[in-house]
Amino acid sequence: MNIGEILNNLWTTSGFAQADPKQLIMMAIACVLLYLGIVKKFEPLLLVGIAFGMLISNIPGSDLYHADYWTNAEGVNYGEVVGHGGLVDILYIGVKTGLYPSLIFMGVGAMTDFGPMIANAKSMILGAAAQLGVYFAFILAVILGFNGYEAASIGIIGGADGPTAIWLTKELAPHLLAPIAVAAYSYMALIPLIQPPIMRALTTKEERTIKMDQLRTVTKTEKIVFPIAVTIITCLVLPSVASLLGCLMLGNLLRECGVTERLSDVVQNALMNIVTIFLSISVGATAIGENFLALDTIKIIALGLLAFCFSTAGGLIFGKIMCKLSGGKINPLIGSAGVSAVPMAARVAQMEGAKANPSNFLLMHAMGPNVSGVIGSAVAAGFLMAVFG
Amino acid sequence: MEFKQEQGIVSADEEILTIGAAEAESQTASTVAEEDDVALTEALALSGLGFGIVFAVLVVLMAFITVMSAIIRGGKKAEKPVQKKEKSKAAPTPAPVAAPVATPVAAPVAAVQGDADMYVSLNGKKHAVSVEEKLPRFNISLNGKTHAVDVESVEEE
Repeated sequence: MNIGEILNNLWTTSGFAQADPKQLIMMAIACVLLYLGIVKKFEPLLLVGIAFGMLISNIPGSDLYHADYWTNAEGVNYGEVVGHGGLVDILYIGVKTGLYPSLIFMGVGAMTDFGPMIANAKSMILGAAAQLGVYFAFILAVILGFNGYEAASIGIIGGADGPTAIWLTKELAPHLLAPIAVAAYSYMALIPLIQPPIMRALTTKEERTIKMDQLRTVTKTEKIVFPIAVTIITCLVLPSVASLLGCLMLGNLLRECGVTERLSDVVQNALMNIVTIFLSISVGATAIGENFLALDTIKIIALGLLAFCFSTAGGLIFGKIMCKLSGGKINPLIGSAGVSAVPMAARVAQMEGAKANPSNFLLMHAMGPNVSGVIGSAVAAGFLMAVFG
Repeated sequence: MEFKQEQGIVSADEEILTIGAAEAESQTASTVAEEDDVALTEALALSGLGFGIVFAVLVVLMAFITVMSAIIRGGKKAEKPVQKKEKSKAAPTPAPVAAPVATPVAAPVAAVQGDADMYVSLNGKKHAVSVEEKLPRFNISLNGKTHAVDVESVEEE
């Protein structure tokens, strides 16, 4: 073997020789997403991982992810994946089996205080109303030519809940996982830009200035009974959602029961962070050129934005109805927090309320619809899974 | 010759079988594709049903939480209207603070300020206090001391 042959082999096995224009475009998109995550701080904990996963899986010749392992009509051959798959293939097992979204939900449950929702149970109506965008986007996707499975996966972007969107899409339309996850997380990061114009358009200045009564204190017993009861009631109605809601409520029970502080701490921090890294890398890695650079991706991005807007509008409209029915005691702005992006949507409601009336403190009132939106989007996903799964 | 003929028949049969299988496959594929597609009317009906189920589940949970809270809190709600009636009869006066009692402090002041039950105005200053309720007389913990307070009226903001 002479030097010439060695150099020739090095060249032919290098990424430069194997480069495909689509892969180069995907690498450029990954760099833009990295910029948005690092410099603009758009959901950096997730977007940085997603963008990096996208970058490494599109490097020519890297062989970290093989789409054909996961789209095999005869089912996934896990022996082949473990024996011959790349690093991302092995990480992707957690997405395909629904492990990561469920563990993320456990962490979310352990970090969430359901007290504001228990103190004002009526706010759960707003969490349900803010799922309007899910069904609106589902209908629009059907009109645009997506089949039922794809339309259901696109619609769930309106739930503004990344793990739920991933959980449903990996089952119904795995080939759309990357654009749906990117759309869901990008729009969650853009909530402070998307929601305020809709909030101002659908409410009057007087409505935005409404000050709400201080919430009552919630007892420890209520907080302990709540996750157990929600698991039983919801999972009896929709067993398909047991893995998501069960984990959410287990995490919350670990937080509230007072005898599992160590476990609660691990779930909130170490486990949540580890799973976030695995989930973001493996979801990002599914964005390979031939799947992602398609007209459908643009349609999904547009439908996702509409879904977010209509979910916000649904919450606000029901907020206005509740405002009228309560004789002006409920500020309709808290309805916008019914989209489940916790706690970003509640913060936006607080900011808009404070702009209208600086002495207005809506944050805790908005947390009620916000956390009930998490349950609402999981129920919506469970329904779509029961129909199409 | 016979063998060749037989072979020919066999290969022809195989061809027919292959064509048949291909037709069946394409028919199955088109049926699956048709099943995957959702008509607009179906999509509307599914959306209505889905939205309704989300509402129904959350309304059931709301009702459950309301009942559960009422049971756990031991009918505290029933006491509130009684206090409001007293307001209309008597003129609002500040709640007098009685002399400190000897009972031990229920909760330290530092914890009280983070998670206050109520706020009282005392000598022109607002204090966060924890409350041990035994209406119309109850104890409050303030600056590390427990005080017995008689409720004469409740003034709403």
